[in-house]
Amino acid sequence: MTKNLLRFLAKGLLALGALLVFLHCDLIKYHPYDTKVSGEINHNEKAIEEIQQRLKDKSEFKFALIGDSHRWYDELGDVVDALNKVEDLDFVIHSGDVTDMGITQQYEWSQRILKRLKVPYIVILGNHDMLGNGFEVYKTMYGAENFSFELNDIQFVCVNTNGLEFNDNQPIPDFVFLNDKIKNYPEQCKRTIVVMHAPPLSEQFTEENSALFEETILRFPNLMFCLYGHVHHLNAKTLFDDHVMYYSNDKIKDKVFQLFTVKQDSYDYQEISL
Amino acid sequence: MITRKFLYNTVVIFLITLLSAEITVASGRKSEVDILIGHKIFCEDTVMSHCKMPHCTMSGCAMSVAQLEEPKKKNLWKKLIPDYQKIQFAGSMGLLSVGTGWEYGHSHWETDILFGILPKYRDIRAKAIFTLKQNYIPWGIRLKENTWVIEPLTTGLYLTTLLDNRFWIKEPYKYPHGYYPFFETRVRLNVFLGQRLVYNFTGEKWKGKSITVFYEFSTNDLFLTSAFKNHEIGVKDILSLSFGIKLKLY
Repeated sequence: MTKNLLRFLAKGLLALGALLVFLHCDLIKYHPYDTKVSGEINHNEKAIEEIQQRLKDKSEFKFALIGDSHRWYDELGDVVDALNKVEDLDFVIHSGDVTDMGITQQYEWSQRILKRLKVPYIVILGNHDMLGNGFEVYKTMYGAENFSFELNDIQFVCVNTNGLEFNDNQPIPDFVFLNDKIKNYPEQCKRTIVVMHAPPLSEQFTEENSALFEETILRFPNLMFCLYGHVHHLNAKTLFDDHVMYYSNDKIKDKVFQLFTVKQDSYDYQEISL
Repeated sequence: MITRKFLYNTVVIFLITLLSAEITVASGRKSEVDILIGHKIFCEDTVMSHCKMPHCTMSGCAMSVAQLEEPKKKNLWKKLIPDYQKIQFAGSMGLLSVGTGWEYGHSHWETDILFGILPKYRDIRAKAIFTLKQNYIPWGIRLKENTWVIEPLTTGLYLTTLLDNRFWIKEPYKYPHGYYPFFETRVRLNVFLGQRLVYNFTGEKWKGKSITVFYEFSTNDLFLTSAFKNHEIGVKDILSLSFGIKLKLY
């Protein structure tokens, strides 16, 4: 009697298993680093277009700065929910380290959470995002690692500063890119904001590059301030013996974000904790 | 200080020790003949596919005691020859992996080595993956005359290594010490649960040969840590499904 029962149980378990498999064919995965991006690609470009549309008839705009979300997915979700309640928010900048190890699925998980933002958002390349083949995934999902865009009379220059992650003989930051942006500065722009992940004087920069970087960006017309992440600490200070303010975001685990309201001649700065 | 790396090394060393112990002790145990005879007595009365040897049928052991007592010399060299081949699709081992392995411990344990190919997709090149897999199959339930056997549960661990120099186990020297703590990029420790269905060939020529089809749900150390205490990451996010076939055709 027990023989038949056992056989019946076995068949039942197998049938259950087969059903489970049939219902979950979407769970077939090849490897965490497979770079099989199934969702949106080239996100930053589309977000920028959206932002420019939103600001068409506005003279002022307000944006939030967050970053370094790594594996703190719940905290990122909470911050996204809080940002959705901010009045007159126009867009969000994530200053990088949107993953912990550049794993394709980590990029997709963060993307999924950030998509809940009611406003457009831009993601900068962080050093953690470059681990393994993360750089390729970033380029697919978000676009070029060095880019710029204009909002009213302000040019945002977003530059890859993760020098320590590169092995080749290429200058990071890309001074050719920066010089080109200075040389071909758009006519309608009068002020500049530079956005990066790792700041100069950090271990991602060489000492010479730090000085050269600051020298270079000072040549942008009316450099308002710089934004960065990486250090997992809120900062609002100058880094060099000059007037340029550098603002950095805290790690998302601490659930704080910063708001910048850019007006015609000035800007307001706020730190908000949840 | 107990770091995650230290824990892994400990677990891996423990597993290897366990494995070697299992193999050495097993070879020093009762002779295979004694085991077979003892099993024959057990075999007469059970539906459990204890050793899954083809001479075991529903009605008992098809071999006589005399046949079982025939000396069977299986020297160490023969033991080193793999017992089967495996082909596996997906499972975080690459798109398709092929490999071979050894069966032991009354067919309860299997150790596979597999090589997988991961296509390029958005990367700069395709990659190869090497997998070392340890399987434990506690039960085999025989159906019709030992032709079909259901293995309702398989479980085990496997290590996957990316054969690409952009991925590392030890942080490259250029980084300050402990720059990327906790996990490395090259190796992943996976755990799985699955089920298998065995077809034993009948007929004189095909005796002892079989084909097994199986599926597995797996996840890895990093994903488990990511999902742990994170409500945003669910069970479906961290699971990986794979299918495979095990061939014992020689």
